[in-house]
Amino acid sequence: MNSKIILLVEDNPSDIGLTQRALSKSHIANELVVAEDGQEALDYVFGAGAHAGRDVTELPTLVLLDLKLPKVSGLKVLGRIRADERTRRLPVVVLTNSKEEQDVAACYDLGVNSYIRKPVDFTQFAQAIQHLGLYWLVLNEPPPKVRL
Amino acid sequence: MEVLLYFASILLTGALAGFLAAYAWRQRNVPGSRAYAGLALGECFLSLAEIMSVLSPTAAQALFWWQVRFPALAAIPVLWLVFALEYSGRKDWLSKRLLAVMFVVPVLTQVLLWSNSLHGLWVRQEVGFHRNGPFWIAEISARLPGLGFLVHSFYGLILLLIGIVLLLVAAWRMRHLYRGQALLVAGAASTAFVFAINAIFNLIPQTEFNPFTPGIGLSVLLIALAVFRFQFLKHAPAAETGSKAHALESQAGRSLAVFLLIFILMAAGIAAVGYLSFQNYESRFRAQVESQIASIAELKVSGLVGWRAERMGDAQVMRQNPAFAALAARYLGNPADTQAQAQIQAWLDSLRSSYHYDRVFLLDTGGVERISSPAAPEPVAAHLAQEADAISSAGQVTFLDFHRDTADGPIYLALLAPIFAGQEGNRPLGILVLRIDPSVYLYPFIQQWPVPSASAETLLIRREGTDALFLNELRFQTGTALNLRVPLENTQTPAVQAALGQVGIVEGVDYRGAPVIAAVRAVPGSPWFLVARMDTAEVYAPLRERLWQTLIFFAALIAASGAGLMLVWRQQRVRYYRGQVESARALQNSHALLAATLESTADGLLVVDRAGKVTSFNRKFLELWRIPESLAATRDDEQLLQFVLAQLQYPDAFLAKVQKLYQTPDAGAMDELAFKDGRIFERYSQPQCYGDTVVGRVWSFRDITERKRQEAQILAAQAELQRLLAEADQSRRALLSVVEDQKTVEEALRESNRRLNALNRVGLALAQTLDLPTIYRTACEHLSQLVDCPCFGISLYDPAAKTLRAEYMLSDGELLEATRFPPLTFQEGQPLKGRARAISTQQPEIVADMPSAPSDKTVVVGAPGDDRLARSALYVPLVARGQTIGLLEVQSYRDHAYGQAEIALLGPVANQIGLAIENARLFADLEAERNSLAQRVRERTAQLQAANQELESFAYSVSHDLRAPLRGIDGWSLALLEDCYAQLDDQARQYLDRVRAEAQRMGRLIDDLLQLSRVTRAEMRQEPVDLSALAHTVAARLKEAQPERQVELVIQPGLTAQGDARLLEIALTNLLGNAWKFTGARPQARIEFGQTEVEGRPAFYVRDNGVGYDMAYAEKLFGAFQRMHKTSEFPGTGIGLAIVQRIVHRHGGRAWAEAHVDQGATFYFTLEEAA
Repeated sequence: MNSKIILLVEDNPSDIGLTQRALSKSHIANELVVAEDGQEALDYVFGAGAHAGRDVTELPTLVLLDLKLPKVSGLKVLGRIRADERTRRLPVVVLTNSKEEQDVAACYDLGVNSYIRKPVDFTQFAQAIQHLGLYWLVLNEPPPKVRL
Repeated sequence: MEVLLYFASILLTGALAGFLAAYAWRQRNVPGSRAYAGLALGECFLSLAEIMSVLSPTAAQALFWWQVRFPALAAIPVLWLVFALEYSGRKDWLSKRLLAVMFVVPVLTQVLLWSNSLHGLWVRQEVGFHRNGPFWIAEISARLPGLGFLVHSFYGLILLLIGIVLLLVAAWRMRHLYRGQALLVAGAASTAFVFAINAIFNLIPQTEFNPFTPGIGLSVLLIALAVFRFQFLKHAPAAETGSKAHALESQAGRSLAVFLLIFILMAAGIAAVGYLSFQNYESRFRAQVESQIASIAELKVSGLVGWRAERMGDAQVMRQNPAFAALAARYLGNPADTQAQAQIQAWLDSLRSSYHYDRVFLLDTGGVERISSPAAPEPVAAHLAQEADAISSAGQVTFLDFHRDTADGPIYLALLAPIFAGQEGNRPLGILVLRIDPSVYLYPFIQQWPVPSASAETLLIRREGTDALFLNELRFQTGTALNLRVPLENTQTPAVQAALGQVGIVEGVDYRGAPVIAAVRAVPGSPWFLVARMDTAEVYAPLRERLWQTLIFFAALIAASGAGLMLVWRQQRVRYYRGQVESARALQNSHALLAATLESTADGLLVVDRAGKVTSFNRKFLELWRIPESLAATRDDEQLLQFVLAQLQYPDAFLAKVQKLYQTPDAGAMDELAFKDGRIFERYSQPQCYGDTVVGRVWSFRDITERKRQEAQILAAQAELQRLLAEADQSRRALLSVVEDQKTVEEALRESNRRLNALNRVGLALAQTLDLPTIYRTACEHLSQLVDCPCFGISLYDPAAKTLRAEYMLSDGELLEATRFPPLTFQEGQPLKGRARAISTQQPEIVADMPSAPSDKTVVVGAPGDDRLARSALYVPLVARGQTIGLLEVQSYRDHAYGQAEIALLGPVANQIGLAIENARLFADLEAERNSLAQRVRERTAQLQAANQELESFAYSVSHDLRAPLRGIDGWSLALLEDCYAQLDDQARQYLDRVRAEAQRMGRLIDDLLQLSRVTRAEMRQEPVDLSALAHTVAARLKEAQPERQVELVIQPGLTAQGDARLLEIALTNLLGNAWKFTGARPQARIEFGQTEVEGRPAFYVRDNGVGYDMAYAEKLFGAFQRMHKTSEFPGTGIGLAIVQRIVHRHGGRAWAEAHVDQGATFYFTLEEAA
C-alpha cells in the first residue's frame, strides 16, 4: 500500500494543506508527491528536470490534477500524459474549482478518468477526497504497465 | 522468387478475369459479350482452383484442387467457340443441339477424370507435386497422359483453331478499319493455343513458374482489349449485315484461295509445333538415357576401386602379421616342424576360403613353393619366380594384373606379399601369393547390368602398346579376355576412346560394328578403363514409338483443322448460292411487276435494244398507233416502221430525228408528232440503262390532241385580259396625283410619331438607371438619333457658387475628358447670353452664328487639333423641382442647325434628364447614409463582442480563483475547530462556525452569480420543448431531496414551447424550487404549473400556497440579490428570480408575479412575446 504514490498537482499552498489534511483524515497513508506547477508535474512523471534520473517505470497510482496552474496548464499536462505511450493509461482525476462546461468537455475529450469540482465546504471536500481514495486506491483495478 | 512470381501471376489472373467477367456481363447487350463473360468466368474459376491447389496443406489436397480446374479447362474452348461464332455473325449456327454436342467432350472429361482410378483412361500417372516454400508446385512432366486426356486436349485445340479460323475469315471480310481488332482477337486465341500446346506437350522444360493459367489469362485480357478498348463488338460483322450479300458475291472467287492459304499456314504452324515437341522430347529422353548409362559406369568404377582396395588390404595384413611371420620363419627354417606346417596350412586355408581366393601359397626367396592351399602342389609359373625376386628386394605388396600362367591356361590376377622375419627392411623370408580367379567374382560383377536390357554391357580395357586390350568376356563374343585387341587408331570404338583417357558419354561403333552409346572412364589406381555401353538401336526404340505417336496426333490435328476450314468454307458457299437463288427470284418478281406496270400506264411504250430492234411494247402502244394485232405479232421491225410513218404528216423529219438519236445512245429527247388525221402525239425517248451501260431505249407516246386544243383556247382568253388591263392602267394614273398629296401629310405624321417614340424610349432608358455616367451616355445615344448633334455635352450647375462644371462631353463620337473644360463662373452684372442666359431664365437658348475664332467661352467641345468649329449651338437648361441643376448643350458644324422644332424636341428630354440626375444624386446620398449606418452597426457589434469576451473571461476567473480562498477560510476554520478545540472557548467556536457559514454562503453566491452570467452568455438554441415533462423532472428532483415533505404537485399535461431546453429547465428549477421553499411551513403544500391566457396571449405560471409577499416590493422582485424574506427564515442568495427573468427575456418573453402576504404567490412568464 505504501508503495502507491499519489501525485498532487496544485499550486495553492492552502489547498495543498487541505488536501493533505483530508487525506490523513480519511486514513489514506499513501505517499503524497506535490508538484506545484504543470512543468514540475511533467518532470516528475517523465523523469526530467529536477526529477531527472527517477525510475519512470514507477508511475504514481493516481494523479490529482488542478487545471489552473503556473507555467503549464492542467489541460496541457493531461494532454501530454495521454499522448505518451508510457503514461497513457495513468489514472488522472481533475480536482479543480471550476465546472465551466468548456473545461469539463476539454478534460473528457483528452481522456480524463474523473472530473471533480472542489466544494467550498471542507467537510464535503474531505468526503470527496475520502471517496476518491477509496475508489481509486482500493476498488479500482489499476491499469497494467505499458510494455515498450 | 520464381515461385512468388508464379503465385502473384495466378492471383492477378484470377482477379483480372473476375473483373472482366463482371464487366462483360454488364455490357451484355453487345454481341458476343455473354459468351465472353462465360469465358472470363471460366478463366477466373481456373485461377481460383489453381490458387487453392498451390496453397493446399497436403499434396493430396493440392491434387484434388488441381483436378477441380478441369471443368473450367474443358468449358473454356467451347465458350470460346461460342464467342467466336456469335462475334463473327454466325449466331444462327448455334443451335441448341450443336451446343449440347459441343459439351459432350467436356462432360466426358469430367466423368473420366473423377473415375480415373477405375480404368486409368484419363491419365496413367497423375502430375506430381513438390513443396516450394509454402506452395505446392505441380510437376507436369510426371504426368503420363491416357487416351481421355489426349481426346480432351485435342478437342480443346480443335475448337480453338476453328474459332481462330472464323475470326480470321471475319477479319478478312471486315471493313478495313476494324480488321486490326479482329486480328487482335485471333492473336489472343492463338496465344491461348500456344500456351495450351506447351502445357500438353511440355515443350519448354518446366520450371517453378507454370505459365499456363497466366497465358490463358493474357489471352482473355487481349480479347477484352479488342472488345472493350476498341469497341470491337459494336462493329462486329453481325452489325454489318447490310453489306453482307455484296461482300459474299465479291469474295466468292478469292475465298477458296484464302481458305487454302489459311490452311497451309495452320498446317505449317501445327507441323512446326509437332516438330518442336518431338525435338524437345528427344533431347530430354537422351539426357535421361545418358545419365542412366553414366551412373551405371560410375557404379561399376566405384565397385572395382573398392574391390581392389580390399584385396590390397588382405595382402598388407599378411605382410605385417608378426605371428604369421614367426610361424613362416619356423617352418621355412625347419620344414620338419609339422606343427608349424599345420598351423600355416590352417591359416592359408581360412584366408583362401574367407576371401574367395583361387589359391594361396608361400614361396621361399628362391621362388620355390613351400606350402599352399589347397594343399595339392602346382608348378610355379616362370614369371612368378622372376617377380618373387623383384618383390623380395622391393619389400612391397604387388598387384599382378590379368595374366595367364601358361599360353592357353586360365586367367588369373595375383597379390604378392613379402613376409619378413622380425625387423622389416631385412631380406624377406619368403613371399605369400594370393591368386585370384576373375571368373569367380570380377567377371560376373562387370557383366551384370542393373536394369533389363537387350544389348547393354560393361567392358574392362587395358592399354597395351598401341592396342586396347579387352580384359573380360563379352556378351556377344567368346574368348575375348586378354585376346581381343583393337588398335588405338580405331578411335570411333568406345574401348579405344576409353583407353585414350576420354571420360564421359561417347558414340561410336563397338567390336561388333554396331553403333552404340557408351559411358567411358578410367578406374583410378589401376591400369583399367571401363566402358558401359548400349546399342543405339535399343536406346532409340521408345523414341521411334513416340515419333509415330506424334506424327499421328499432329496429322490428325492438321486433318481436323482442314475439316473445320472446309466446313466454314462450305457454309460460305452455301450462303453464296442461297444469295444467288434469292436474287434470281427477286429479279423474276421485279420483271413481273414491271410488265404489270407497263400495261397499266396511260402512255404507249416501246422498248428497243441498242441496235433499234423492238424488244417489247405495251397494249396502249398498239392502240395509239392503231397497229393491228396481226402486225404486232409478226414483230417485223421494218413493217412496223412503215406502218407508223404512213400515219405521220412529216415522216421524213421524224425518221431523221430517230436516226440522230441512235447515233447518241445516252441522250434523251422530247418531240411532238403531227398526224395526217390531225392528231398530235407527244414523243418521249429515254436511254435504258443497266448500271452504267446503255442497253437500249424506251419510247413513250402520249396523245395530246385534246390538250393542244385547250391550250389554244387559253391563249385567246389571255389576249382579251391583256387588253382590259391596259384600259385599267389609264384610269389608275389619274387617281395617283390625288394620292400624292395624301402621302406628304402621312410623312409628317410618321415623323412626329417617330420623335414621340424616341422620347418615350429616352424616358424609359433614363428611368432604368441611377448611375450618373450611364444617364449621360443613354441621353447622348438617344439624342443623337433625334437631332443633328456631332457635339454633345452635359454640365452641372452649382447655384451657390454660380458655377457650371462640365460632366460629359462628346465630340464626333469621341468622349472627351471633362477636366479639359474649366468651370464657368457667372459674374453678377455681366450681360446675360448663351449658357448664362439659358440657366438664369430656365429657357432654351439658340446660338445660330458662333464667332469664327475660338475662345474658351464659345467653343465648349471639339477634339484637340480639330480645325472645324461649331457654327451653331442649342443650350437647354436641366430643371428639377424648379431649380436649374445643369445644362444640356448640342452643337453643329452647320449654320442655323437648330430651331423651334429642336427646342420642342429637346425640352422634354432635358426635363427627363434633369429628373434622372436628381434621382441619381438622391440615391447616392441615401447609399452613403446606409453605408455609414452599416459601419456603425459593425463597430457596435465589435464592441459588444469585446465586452462579452471580457465578461466571459471574468466569469472564468471568478469560477476558478474566488472559490479557492473561500475553501481555505472554511477548511482552516474547521481545522482550527478540530485541532485547537480545547483552547477555544464557546464564543470563539461560535465565531468560527459563523466564519464557515459565511464562507459557504459566499461560495453559493458565486455559484449563483456564475449561473446568472452563464444564462446570459449561453448560446440559444430553438427547439420544441416539452415543458410538462421538464416540470415533472424538476419536481422529481425536489421530492428526492426532501422525501419527507408532503407537497401536492399539479402539472398541466401537454405544455410545449419553442425555446432552449437547458435554459428553460434552469428557469423551471428556480421557479419550482422557490415554490417548494416558500411552502415549507405549510402542512398542505400545493404547487401548480400550468398555462393560462393573459391579455389574449398564452402565459405559463407557477402557483403556490406558500408565504407569499407584499406586492409593494413587487418591482424589486426580479432584481439580483433582492430578497423578500429573512435569510434565517428562507435561505437563498436572491439571484434565482433574476436568472428566471434573464432566461425569459432571452426567449423574448416577460415575467411577472402576483402575490399576497400569507396567501401564496403566482409567477407568470411568457415566451416569444413578439410572435
